[in-house]
Amino acid sequence: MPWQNSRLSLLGWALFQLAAYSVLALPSLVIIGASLNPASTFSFPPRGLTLAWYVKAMETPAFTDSFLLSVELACLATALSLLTGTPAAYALQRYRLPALQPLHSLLLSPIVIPAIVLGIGLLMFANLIGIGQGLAALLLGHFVLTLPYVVRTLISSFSLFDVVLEEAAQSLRASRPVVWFRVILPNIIPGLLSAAIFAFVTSFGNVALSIFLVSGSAATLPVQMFAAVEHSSDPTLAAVATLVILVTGAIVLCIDRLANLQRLI
Amino acid sequence: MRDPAPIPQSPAVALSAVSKNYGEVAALELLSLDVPCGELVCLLGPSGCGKTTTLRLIAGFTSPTRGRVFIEGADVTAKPPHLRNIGMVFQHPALFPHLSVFDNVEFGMRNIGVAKPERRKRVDAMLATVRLADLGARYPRELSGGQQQRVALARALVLRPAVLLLDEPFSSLDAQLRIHMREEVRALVHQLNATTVLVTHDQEEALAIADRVVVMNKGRIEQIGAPSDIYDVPQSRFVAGFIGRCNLLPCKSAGAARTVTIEGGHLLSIANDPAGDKGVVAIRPEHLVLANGQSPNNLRVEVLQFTYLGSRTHLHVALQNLKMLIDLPSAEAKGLSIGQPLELSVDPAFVRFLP
Repeated sequence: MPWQNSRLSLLGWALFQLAAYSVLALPSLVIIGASLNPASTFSFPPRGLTLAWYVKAMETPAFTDSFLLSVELACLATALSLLTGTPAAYALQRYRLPALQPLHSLLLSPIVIPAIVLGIGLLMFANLIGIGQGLAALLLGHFVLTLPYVVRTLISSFSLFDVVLEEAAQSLRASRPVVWFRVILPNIIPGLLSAAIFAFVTSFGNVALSIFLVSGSAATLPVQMFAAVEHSSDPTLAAVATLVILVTGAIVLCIDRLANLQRLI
Repeated sequence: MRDPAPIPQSPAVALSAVSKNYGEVAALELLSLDVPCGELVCLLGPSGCGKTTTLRLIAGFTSPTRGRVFIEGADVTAKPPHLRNIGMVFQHPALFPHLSVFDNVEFGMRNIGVAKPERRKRVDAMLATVRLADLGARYPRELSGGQQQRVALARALVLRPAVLLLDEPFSSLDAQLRIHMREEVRALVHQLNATTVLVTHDQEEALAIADRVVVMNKGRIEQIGAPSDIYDVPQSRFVAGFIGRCNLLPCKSAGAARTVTIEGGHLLSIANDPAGDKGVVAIRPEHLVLANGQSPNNLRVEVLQFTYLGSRTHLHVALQNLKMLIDLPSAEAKGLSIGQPLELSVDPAFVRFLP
């Protein structure tokens, strides 16, 4: 019977969706489970419930310091990328000069270059210009890493923004700064927000690049976690990872709310 | 001490020998134009004739390759748009989507530092003038196309610009609304005595709305005049052909004053002396009428085809090898048949020689 067929296919589809989501969510679920497990080694499934590992994570300076460093770094890199990427995206979208095409490709190239290659290159560069490893080198690296996301997102924002609005503003006595602050920026706020969030998440979660650029005394959180997992199976790490999942998840939820995710990817 | 000599009032806009080249292509060539205060001027021409370029030169969105632009007597050639005393309305309303109707209209006054109470007063008055007094709190997306274009007008006019520039402002509206809006705009700019330059490719619109029409072609001005002058006394073949329909018949000077010879040796009395040996005579289709007895300008033609258009009927006729169009009241065209010979005449006052 047709209705049975459609019910069956609906059921099949539901099962397929469940499987797909499970594959995507399972690693996170395992981590969350492990972080709540009272057993003192990394194990799954949990045999009880405790928040002790979260308390321990909060009391471990290596994690709290590196968390603060990561937040600081992600904020700075995001700010720097927005400040430079917004005008760059504007120029690339508005003035389609052939001379700008190579610049366009160059700005987007960090997306396709493996981060590890970028990391080695940046380490050598940082040493060459004498800043060495540390916050300055990290900031430089994360700036390079986040800029393409900002430029890409904002190019699509500007292409949806009618240039006639700028001319209308100019005909209404608006100088260039007024056009920017009262006409252009208010209309690209969704683009700016998603660019900022993309940049923040990209910076906040990065290991491959950061690992070359951190100084011995101060690592970013992902690097700290990477190091920790190598010589301990302490569930504190699972607690930290769960916190990272929560923070990142909250931010992604924001993207979904603030802008149409599909349009930007 | 003597009184200073009275300063003659400067035109609201003056273009002085303005040229604009895009690479090798000349968009405008040595164009000069004065727009006196309070006048509504239409720049009319086919696409690519330079009318929009002219408007954008006045606004300051493009700068001339040569020549100078004056607004109220001051040379503004080097000034950016926001330092020129202009208002502009675009093909699409181009309202700021993030601002309410009130804030859209207020936008310009904030930029020139008008005090808040004064701003409020002027916005309210202007919204009342364009009959949108109750819609100040709405956002542009909540308005109809006609309402949006009225806000765009209000937004420009509230600054009392030296000149209002309209770039095909009715083209995004449907046909009925377009006619309604152009009547409204004409009434509004005359009420406010606002000098206005309107760009259009729609000759009917230009004739209906303008005090003066500037017909442009290939970057040059073909003719400037009142709508009726442009229609009745075209001064070039281009204007005759572009504005309305026109029969252009090759002719030779017949030697006598105000007389030419056309195809088949017919002598025609015309309104002006032919300038040169050869040229064309321009005759509007509605000026060719069925002959009523003997007159100097009788033409014997053969009916080729009819097009019935309600109150009028178009007749395609042949004068030997010359094809002509005649626009007759349908009542007079009744009973005519294809292939029938027809006696036509035309008042010499409506026949003009064009070189």
